[in-house]
Amino acid sequence: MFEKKLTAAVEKLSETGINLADAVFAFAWGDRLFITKQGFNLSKTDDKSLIELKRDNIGENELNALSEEGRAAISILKKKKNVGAVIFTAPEYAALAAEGKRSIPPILDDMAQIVGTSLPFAETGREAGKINAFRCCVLTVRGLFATARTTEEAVTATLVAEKSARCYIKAKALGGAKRIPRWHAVLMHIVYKIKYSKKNIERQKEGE
Amino acid sequence: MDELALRNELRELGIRMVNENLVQGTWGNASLRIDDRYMLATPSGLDYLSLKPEDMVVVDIYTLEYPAGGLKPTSEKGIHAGIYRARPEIKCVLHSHPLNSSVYAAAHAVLPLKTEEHKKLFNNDKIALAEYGLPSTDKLVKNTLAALKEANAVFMKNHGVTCCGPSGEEALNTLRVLEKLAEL
Repeated sequence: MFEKKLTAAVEKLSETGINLADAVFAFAWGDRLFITKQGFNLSKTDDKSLIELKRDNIGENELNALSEEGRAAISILKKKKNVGAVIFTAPEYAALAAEGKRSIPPILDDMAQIVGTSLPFAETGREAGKINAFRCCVLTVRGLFATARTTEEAVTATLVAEKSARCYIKAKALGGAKRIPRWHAVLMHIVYKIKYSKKNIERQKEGE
Repeated sequence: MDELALRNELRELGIRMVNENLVQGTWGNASLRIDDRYMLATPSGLDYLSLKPEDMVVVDIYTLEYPAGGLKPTSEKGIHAGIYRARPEIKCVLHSHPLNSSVYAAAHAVLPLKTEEHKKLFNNDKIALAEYGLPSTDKLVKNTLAALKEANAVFMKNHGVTCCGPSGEEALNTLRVLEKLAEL
């Protein structure tokens, strides 16, 4: 069901240089969840790359077959009914930023719009609670979780989060990145979600 | 040049910006001057690679009006129109959030230009920095125009960059060179 979206997401992230080693892609469709198998073949994604789970009835063996990030992705999908896709990757600058174990404040308009009012740091992917209505990505020492209503939005969130981490780190050479006032960031995030909500949900449906 | 040729040129500019990694996804926008009254602008929120010549939107540079019932022009049309109103020699405006320039925008940093070649290309001795304004607001338009003055490029605090030129090719080259100069 989601193999075309998985292939498109892998292609888009690969061509922009995102590190997909140990990547996890998880999708929700009603009471059905789909997640990539551990070690799935990035160069040949198909229906065999994905495992299907029942949202309300996931066995312990099924969970144990997943990586820590895979379990975290499933946990996010189960808890957040408005999340339709979770992508875990290990982008270069997000990893560097995570070494500082600190959240990245809103420093760019597109970050505030798409990623949210900050890019929080979590010790482990299990801290899914840091993802909320105003923050759709989480930085961990092992990589970046991006969540969104659709797969395309989650890919975009991954790219913008990595760009934000890159700017945050590189701006240190210029005296450091300056943050956007919080209420501006909140406003931009809300406006973005409203503006692109209907169009993107329709696009997700069309793709299935 | 007739309008169809301009529509094709604008579509081509968008594709080249994507292919040269000067714009990501649907973020950023481009326009070409049609005449003293109208510009042709990229539509809002659509992927450059999927745009067709007929998707480009004619916008009045004085009233910002555009034909009803069709695609909406970029929400940053005010910046484009403002530059065309103030600078009759400008035929193309590009607004983007490319990787390297965004670092300067986030750091609120000015980029000094050292060579005569670059000073001539950008028509300034530095890449100036526009004060912050929320996206798509009059404040952002006003701040961008105030910082740009007669130059061909400006960083926009916490936002991105705007470049312009007497042709599409020259504006694109300005953006390309700026992105290279901004690499840290």
